[in-house]
Amino acid sequence: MKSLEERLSGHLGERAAAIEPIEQGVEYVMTEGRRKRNGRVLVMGAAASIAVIAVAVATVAVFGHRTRDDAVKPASAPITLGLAPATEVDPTFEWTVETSAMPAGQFGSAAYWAGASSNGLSRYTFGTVAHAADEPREQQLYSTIDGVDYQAAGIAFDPWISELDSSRPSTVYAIGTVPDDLAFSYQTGVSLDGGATWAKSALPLDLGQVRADLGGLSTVGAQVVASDTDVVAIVQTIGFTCNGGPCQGLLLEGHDTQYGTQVTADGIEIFGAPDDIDAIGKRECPPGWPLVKGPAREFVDGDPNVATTIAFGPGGSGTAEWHCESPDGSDPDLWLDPSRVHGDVVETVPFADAGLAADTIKALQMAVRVFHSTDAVSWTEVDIAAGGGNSGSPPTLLWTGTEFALHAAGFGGGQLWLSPDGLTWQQATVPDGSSQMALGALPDGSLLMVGTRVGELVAYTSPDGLTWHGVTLSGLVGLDGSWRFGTFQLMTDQTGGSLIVQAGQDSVALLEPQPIDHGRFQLQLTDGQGGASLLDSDGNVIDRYDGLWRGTNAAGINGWLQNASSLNGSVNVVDPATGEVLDVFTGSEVQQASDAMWSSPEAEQMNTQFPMGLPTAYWVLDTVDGVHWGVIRLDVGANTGFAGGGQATAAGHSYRMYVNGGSAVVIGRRTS
Amino acid sequence: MNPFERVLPVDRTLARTDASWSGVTTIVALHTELAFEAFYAGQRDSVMRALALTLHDTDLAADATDEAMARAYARWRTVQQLQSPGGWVYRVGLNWARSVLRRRGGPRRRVHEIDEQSLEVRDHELHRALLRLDLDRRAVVVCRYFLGMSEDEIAQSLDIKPGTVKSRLHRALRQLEDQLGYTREEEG
Repeated sequence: MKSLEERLSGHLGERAAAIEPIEQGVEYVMTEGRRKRNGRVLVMGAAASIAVIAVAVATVAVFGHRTRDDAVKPASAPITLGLAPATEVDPTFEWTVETSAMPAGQFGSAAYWAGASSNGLSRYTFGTVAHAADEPREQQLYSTIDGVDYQAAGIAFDPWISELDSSRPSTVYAIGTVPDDLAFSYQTGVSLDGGATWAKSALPLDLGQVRADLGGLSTVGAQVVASDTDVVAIVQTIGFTCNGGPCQGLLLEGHDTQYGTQVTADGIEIFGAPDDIDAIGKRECPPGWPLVKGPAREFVDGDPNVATTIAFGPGGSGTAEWHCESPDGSDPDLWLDPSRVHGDVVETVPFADAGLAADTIKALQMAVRVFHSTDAVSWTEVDIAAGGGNSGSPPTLLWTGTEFALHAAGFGGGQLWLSPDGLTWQQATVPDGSSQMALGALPDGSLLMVGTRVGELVAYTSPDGLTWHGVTLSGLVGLDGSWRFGTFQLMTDQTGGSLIVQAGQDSVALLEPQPIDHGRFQLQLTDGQGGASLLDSDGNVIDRYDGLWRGTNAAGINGWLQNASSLNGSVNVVDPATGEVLDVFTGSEVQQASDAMWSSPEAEQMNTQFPMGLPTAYWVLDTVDGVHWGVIRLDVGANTGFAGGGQATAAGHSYRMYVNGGSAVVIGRRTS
Repeated sequence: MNPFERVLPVDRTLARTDASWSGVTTIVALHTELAFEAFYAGQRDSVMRALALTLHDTDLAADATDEAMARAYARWRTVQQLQSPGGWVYRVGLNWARSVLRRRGGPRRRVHEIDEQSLEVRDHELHRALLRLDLDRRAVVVCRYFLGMSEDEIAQSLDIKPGTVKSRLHRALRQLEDQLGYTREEEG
């Protein structure tokens, strides 16, 4: 009998060798690192995770847990979005879970990130060639008719593709990144022979000299989509934590830029020192907390997991650091976005004097950029303000059959742009709270947006991108109050749309944490997805929102709750009528309430009772018009999750999954 | 040998001074990008695999590795001076994953587990026994028997006392022995 040590070494080594390293690349990591170094934790998009954003910040104190008898019980009726329920019909697909010979993990697609829709029928997909741990990684194009069996197309190649469009016959368009000097460049490719040969070209981003040192880029959000005559590519430049111009880390020699800069048509405007610190402190900080120049104080030294603040979103443009100081030191200080603290513009530096061209400035910004081509080789940038980038909610581009539609999430909320030719774009509207929803197109050319909002699964349709009609799908699935929708993927093609969604029992909803009691107002965490309710002093729920862990401007259904203007993790209570800030629940208070809940006997009991986690399940819903939906529950067991983007094939819709730890395909074949 | 062996820093403070950047303004990048890139290229896969074995969740391990690598880059000047920057990244990634699991209410049921069909796991008995170890014990087992660290190296990497390493390793092996039917001499 082998010794245990020998067995362990052999077994672990064997398993490790078979693990396919999944990575986003050093550029992504360094960009995230820059953000952290600059004092903030940017919301990171976990693969395939739509709404649940875990912020890796621990707090210092763990507060005691009050007994259930002390809890303030909501006395009012639940607040909902008020959408009409969707009409249930028989599914238009027959859904089955089938074993696939192709390991699900071999496939990749941008849809993995966003739950993005497809762009119609796709005969090709791409993946990674199976290889040993010490062999180089190669990509391969695969063709499929039914989404179950895949045939290799062309020869394997050095990895560069991150997304492709094969909705046009005999033509495959691809986009990705390739190494370029010390960094990477975006590359597009078009193949007219099923992937055997490619015509490749670089997207003209003008990253130029700055790319190697400062300009971050990522394959997240890069897409290429074709109509019959035009091709559109989008990329999402991450820049260098810029919010309107070059910022921290960029020093304009000879100029004092500590209070920030902004880019205008005339050049780089430089802000001066703020005049009235106290007034800004009253505006930006919790009541009684002074605004102080300098970095937030360290509470615990040497522990990388203990941070002093919770901070979200894009930062400011200055190098000066500011924080709201905890009056008695019992709470961590709050980091404050430097762009919130500055005086008037004191100087404007022309681009030429700064050694920067306008295009270079643009390359550094966090934004979605749009390019047009007729041959996918020669590209022209289309200058539209398509919103800011957001690694948690990448943009979506698709062809509806009559026009291109671009949905960019961004930190300030979602934007929708429409174009018949990829050259001329008109901004349309989006439903409230849709920044993290997926976009698709229905057979009649109308737009479909699907996602979750304050715990509800919702679908909106629009014929023109101007007027939207919403329905709630929650009733079709029929979850009880402790369950929440989680990861989902939406896919649409010329015959209809399908949505696969995972839901699970939510530990926070089960544990019902104590409200944070400020007297007139109380804030109660309602789920682990960032949901919270605002209660009045009598325990009546007066507002709900789902923005606690979200790095965007989130607002409640009734307008009382808003993420703090500086996006530092705090929640403002705002008078909906006047906009006056009535109260502030700080990020540390929220974290302490969460920690108190997790320290409670009830939490320990729950963890003991459910050592492998709370139950989850999957459902598939399909529709032709966005209002009538069929629904079935998938028979999949534990250890199930998405492994790649969905694909609309000639035979139906397919979603590649891990099911019970194995490789499987969820197949929807049309019933007629 | 510690697979997370130190990568010597390459001091490369980048300053743009070529003609195209001359004029009133010089843009200066303040960071030692190359040293980090070398560290990332050399250590990333090892850290990710170690975390995957510890967490039994490849996707979470990948996310945790990226998060920890980003933190390492954020404080690279400090981290590169450590005896084992890779061990630091492993620990930070493990702690980050713990916080994610805690917020999720424990290990996900929809864990993206390593594809066992393609892996052809041969030692199912040991595989299952390892899964029954708690994270702390599995971490020291992975460090010892996958990464080949000494107990002192494990202590440094996980930021725990050497005595704690001995204790966790001892109890982990006892638990595995019990489950796998090994007999051992009575301790006395």
